[in-house]
Amino acid sequence: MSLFRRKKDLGLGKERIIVSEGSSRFGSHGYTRLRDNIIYLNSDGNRKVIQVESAMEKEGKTSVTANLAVSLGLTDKKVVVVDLDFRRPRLHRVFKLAKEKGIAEYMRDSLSREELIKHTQYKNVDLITRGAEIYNPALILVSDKFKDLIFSLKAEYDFILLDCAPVLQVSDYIHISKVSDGALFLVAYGRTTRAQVADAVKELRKNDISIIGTLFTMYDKKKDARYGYGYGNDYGKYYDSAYGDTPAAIEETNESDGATEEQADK
Amino acid sequence: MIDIHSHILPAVDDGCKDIDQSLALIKEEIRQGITDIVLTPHYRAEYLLRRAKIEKRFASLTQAVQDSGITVNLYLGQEIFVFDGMISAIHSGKLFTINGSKYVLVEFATKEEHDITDTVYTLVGAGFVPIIAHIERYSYADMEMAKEIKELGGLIQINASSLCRRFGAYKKKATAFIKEGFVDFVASDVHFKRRNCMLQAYNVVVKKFGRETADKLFTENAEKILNG
Repeated sequence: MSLFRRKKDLGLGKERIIVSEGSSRFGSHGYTRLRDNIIYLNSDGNRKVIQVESAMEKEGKTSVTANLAVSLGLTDKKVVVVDLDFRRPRLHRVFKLAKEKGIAEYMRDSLSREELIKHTQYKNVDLITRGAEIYNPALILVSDKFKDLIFSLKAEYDFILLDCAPVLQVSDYIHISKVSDGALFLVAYGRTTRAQVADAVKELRKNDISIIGTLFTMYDKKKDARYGYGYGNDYGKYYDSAYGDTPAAIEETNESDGATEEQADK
Repeated sequence: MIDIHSHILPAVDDGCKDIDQSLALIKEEIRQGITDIVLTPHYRAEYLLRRAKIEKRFASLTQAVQDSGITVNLYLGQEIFVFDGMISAIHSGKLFTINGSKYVLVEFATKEEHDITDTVYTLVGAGFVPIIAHIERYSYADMEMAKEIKELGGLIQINASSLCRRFGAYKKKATAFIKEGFVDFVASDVHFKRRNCMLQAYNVVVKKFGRETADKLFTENAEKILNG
């Protein structure tokens, strides 16, 4: 379980890349750890397509997906990030690109594969956006064309990261799991309830989706020190650390309330 | 005061059906202390008027105002209900921005959730500055969204009528948005038969937030966008 220190935000909605070469920026340690774990898990090459999931919306999936991609790119891994949150696509914003000309157009045959894949300004990181609005997500996700796309990307990239819609809101994750090698499950610390996490994990397991790792986002040290967590909007107090010196949080994560660490092959 | 959102242009939408109604509304605006009005007819499914027609109406209204000896500055704009292809329509000159500037007044659905921040992001990326019309009316619009809109470079307008109510969701939201500093403009959104309460709203803002804020929301911010 990795922990993310997130610089104190004034609120949500400001997903951004905090990882950079030689970075010691707050929070980037967490990504280094995550990246190394992901690389390790994929040492046999059969964990390269990862669906990034969470129970609810706004738990940090887009931020994590984007920053993990950049982090992997810095180790010379070729990565493509795909925005599969069709109802609320946000990945393009983090990379400051337009969302137009994406999956929607590609599926309608009005865009070529070359045009579909956008190059970002980050080393080794490409992006596939949603494009125009998609009214029938399930139809797209189960289609051969979509499956073929992901399959063909596997030949070209070391990692394919899929930014997905929340598990408890839509059932897209079921279809996506048919093309992914496993799920990275995020939990927004102090915000998502145990019941929500339990329900989401139950759903993933019910559909035989391998949870290759779990992590907390929006960790708040201040909140941690007090017993119990609130459901409010108090996010990420900056916490500078080398890894390991967060005993309280680690204790918290060891409680199996649905969020578990499962890094085995399934 | 400057009113950046009004349905005073005759025979183009549900605002005014003829010039007499338009003149009546303009006189009322002046009575309330308004010196500059941006005419923003609807552009949506029921009112897909051609640019030329709107310009014609604008010309005849301007003439009528002159003939009546009314002193007021009129500008042309549009209240565009968001739709696919909106940006290329603006680029191609099919739609009106505020006084030909980069500012665009955009409207969204009140109940069905629209991805407002996505529209803001896209418009800003295309070189425009979106003004979100009467945000307090959207049931799904909250502080978080308003904050994100501002961060992305969008501007926010609320209706004077929302401030003039004694209570209710619109009043509550409008006041809260102003309090957090998310509002840039207060405008009338006036149609014939709807009460114009810009002056009353101005006084409400003065009382609650001070004259400096009121002047920004009712005059100064609008001045900036009219001057390009």
